[in-house]
Amino acid sequence: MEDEVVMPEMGKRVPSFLNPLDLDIIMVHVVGYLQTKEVAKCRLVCKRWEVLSTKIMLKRHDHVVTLTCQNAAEFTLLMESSRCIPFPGIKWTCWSLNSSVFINLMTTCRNRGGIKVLVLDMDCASGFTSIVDEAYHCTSGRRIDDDKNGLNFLTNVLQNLSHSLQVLDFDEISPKFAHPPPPHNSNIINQEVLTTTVLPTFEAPLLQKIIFPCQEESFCEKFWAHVFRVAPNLQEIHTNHASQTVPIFASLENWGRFDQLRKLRLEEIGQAQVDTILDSSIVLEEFKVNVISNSVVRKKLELLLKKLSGTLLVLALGSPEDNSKIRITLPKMLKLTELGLYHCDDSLIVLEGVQFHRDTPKLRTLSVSSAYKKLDWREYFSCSDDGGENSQPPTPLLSVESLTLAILVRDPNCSLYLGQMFPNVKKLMIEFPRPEFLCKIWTTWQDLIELYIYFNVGSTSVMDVGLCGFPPAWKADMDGKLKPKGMSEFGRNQFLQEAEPPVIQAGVSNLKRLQRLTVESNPLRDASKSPLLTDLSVYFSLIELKDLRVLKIGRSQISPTAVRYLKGHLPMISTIDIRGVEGPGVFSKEESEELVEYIRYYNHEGNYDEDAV
Amino acid sequence: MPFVNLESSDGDLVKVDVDVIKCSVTINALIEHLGLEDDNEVVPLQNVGTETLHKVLAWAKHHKDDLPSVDDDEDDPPRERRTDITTWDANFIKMEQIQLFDLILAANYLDISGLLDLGCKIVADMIKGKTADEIRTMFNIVNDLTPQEQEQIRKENEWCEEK
Repeated sequence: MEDEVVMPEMGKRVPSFLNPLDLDIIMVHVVGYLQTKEVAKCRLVCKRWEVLSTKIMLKRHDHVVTLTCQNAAEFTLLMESSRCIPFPGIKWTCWSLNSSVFINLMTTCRNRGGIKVLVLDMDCASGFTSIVDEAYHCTSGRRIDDDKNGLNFLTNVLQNLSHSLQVLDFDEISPKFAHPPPPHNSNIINQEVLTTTVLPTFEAPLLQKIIFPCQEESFCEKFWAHVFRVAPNLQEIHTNHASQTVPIFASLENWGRFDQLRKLRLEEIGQAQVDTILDSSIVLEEFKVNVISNSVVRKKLELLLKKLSGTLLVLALGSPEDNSKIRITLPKMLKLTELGLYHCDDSLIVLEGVQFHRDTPKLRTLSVSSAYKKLDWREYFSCSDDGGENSQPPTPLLSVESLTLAILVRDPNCSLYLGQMFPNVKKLMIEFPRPEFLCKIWTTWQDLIELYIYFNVGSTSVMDVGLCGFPPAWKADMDGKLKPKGMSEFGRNQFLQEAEPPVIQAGVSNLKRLQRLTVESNPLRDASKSPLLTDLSVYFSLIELKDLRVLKIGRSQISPTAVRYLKGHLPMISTIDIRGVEGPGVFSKEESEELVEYIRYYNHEGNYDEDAV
Repeated sequence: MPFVNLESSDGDLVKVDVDVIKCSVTINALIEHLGLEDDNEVVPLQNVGTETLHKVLAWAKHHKDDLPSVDDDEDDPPRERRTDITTWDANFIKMEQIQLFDLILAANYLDISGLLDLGCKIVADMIKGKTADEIRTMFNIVNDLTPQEQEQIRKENEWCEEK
C-alpha cells in the first residue's frame, strides 16, 4: 500500500540558492519512497533528475510492473520505449493476451536479468487454467490439445521463468485483502496434456513463494508433486481451494522439508493435516486457514497452535461450516502481530481464557469477520472468567493499531466494547456497518488516521468477506450466479442504499487527524448511473479534515468544480478519487452561493481563531 | 552525564548530552575518534546551521529512548515496511520547505537514519501526484530539457504510466 503521511506547509518556494548537489543528495534518499511511475515522472524534471532517476530505475529490484498492453503493436512500443528498464516483477492484467507477445516479453525479461515475481491477473477466479484458456482463445480457438501454439505458449512461459522466478502468483491477492476468490466453474482443458507436456517443463530452482488457486483435485495432485520436486527452496504456499489441502500435504510429506516452510495459507484443514504438522519439524511465521474442518479435535488444534506459538507472526482461523462452535485456548504468542478470526453464519471460534494484552503483546492488526448472530462482544473480547453482565470492562489492548471488522451482528454496544478494548486504533476498516455501529465510530476512535468503509448494497454473503478483510475490487455475485453457502441477505436498508453522503456528513469532521478516507460500495451498480455528489454538507464536512491526503468515494460522481473546491481547501490532499469527474461541471447558482457563504464563514472562523491565539 | 559541544556552521556552540546525540553515527564516530575527554572539547559541524542544529537536537531528544530498530521482518520486501509517522513527528516536521531540506541534509551529514527517513517520506509525499512542471516549481528547478528530449522521455515512460 502507498504510504500516506502528512506534509509540511505547501506553496513556499525554495530559494534558488539550494545547491543542485544538495538537491541530488535529497533526491537519492527520497526516491526510495516513490513508486516506479513517480520515479519515471521525475525523469521529466530536468537533465540532472533525468540521469539520477534513470539510474535509480535501473537499480530497482523490488518493483512489480503492471503491463496492460493489448496487442502486438503496443507491446513492440513498450519494448522499444523501455529500452534498458529491467522487469524484475510483472503483473499482467491484459485480457486479450497474445501468446507470441507474451513469449516475446518473457524472452526480453530474461535478457534483462530475469523475472523474480510474476503475477498473472487475467482471471482472478480461475488462475492457472485461465492462462491456458487465454492461449486457447488467442490462437485458433481450438482446444489446447490440438492447438500447438497454446501449448507452446504455456511451455514457453514456464521455461523462460525457470532460471529466475522467486514468486509465482497466479492470482493477485494483495497482502491487505488476503481473501481467496470465489469458486469458479472453469473447466480445466485436457488434464492429460497439461500433466504430461506442460508440467515437466516447469523448473523452479529459486522459487520461494507460490500462489495457486486451482481447484481441480486430479491436476492439483500432480502439480504439487511436481512443484515440490522442482522447487527445493519453497517457503510459502498459498492456495484457495479445499481440494488442494490433501494433495499439498501428500506432496509435502514426500518432500519432507517441513522446517523450510515459513508461510502456509490453506482454505481448509482437517485432522489428518493437523496430525502431520504436529509430527513434523515445521516452524511457521504465518498460518492462515479459512475453514477448520469439524473433524479437527480441539485438543489437537490447541497443541498445533502451541507448537507454532513461538514463531507465528500472523495467524488466521476460520470456523467450521457446520454451524458448530470451536472453543480453543490460545497459547501465549509473544511474536504475533496479526490475528484474523472468521466466522460463518452460525458457527464461531471462541477463544477461551485469552488475555490479549498478556498473551499477544505485539498484536498490531486484528481482523474479525463474523456473521454469528449472537456474538457477545463482551464475552468474545473481554474473555473474563465469569463472562457475565457484571464483568469488568476489558483490559485495553494498546498495541492494536489496525482493526478490520466485517460484522453482521446487531449490537448497539459493539463499538463501545471495541473502543474500550482497542483504544489506540489508527486504521479502521469496516464492511457491512450497521447504522447503530457507524454512528458511534466518530466518537469512539477520534484519532483515526485511516478509515475505510465498505457497503454492500444488495445481496452478499459473509463468505465473500473472508479471513482478513475483503477484496477492494470485489466482484463476487456480480451476475448473481454465485450463491455460496452461508448467504445472508441484507443491505436493503435505505440508509445503506444511499450511505456515502450521510456517512461522510454524519461525523467524519470529528476525525481531525484523518489522512485517508475511503467510502465505497460493491460494484453492483452501473458506474454511469452513480449519483452526482451534490450534497454541499459533504464537502463542508470534508474540508474540516486538514490532514486529509487521500479521499476515495466509490459510488458517486463529483463535479470538477467540487474537485477544485476540495483541492483548494484541503492543503494536504494528493488524491481525490470519486469515481469520475464527468458530472455537469459546476454547482448550481444556489449551491455556489451557499458555498461562497460557507467559505466566507469558514475563513472568518479561521482568522478569528488565529487572532485569538 | 557526559556532554559534547557542537559548533554550527554559523559559529554558535551548543552543549549537548552525548546520550541525546548518540543517534548520529557521524558524531559518535567523531567522539570516538577525537577521544573527547573533557566537556570543553568542540565538534565542528561545518554543514549544519544553528537553526537546523536545534531542530535536529529537538528530534534527537524526543527519540533518545527509542529502541534501536530491530528488523523483525527482514525477509519482507522494503515496500511492506511500516512507515507510520507518529503524531509528534508529524507536528515536528511541519515546517517550510527550505528548513525541511536543510534538516534532511543535516540528517544525511550527521547520519541519523530515523530523521533522514522522516524527512524523505515527507518530500516523497510532496512529489507524489505532482506533474513534472509542478515539481519544478516546488523545487525551483529550471527545465533544461529540450522539447525533443522531453518527448523522448515521455515515450520511454509510457510503459509505466497509469492507464
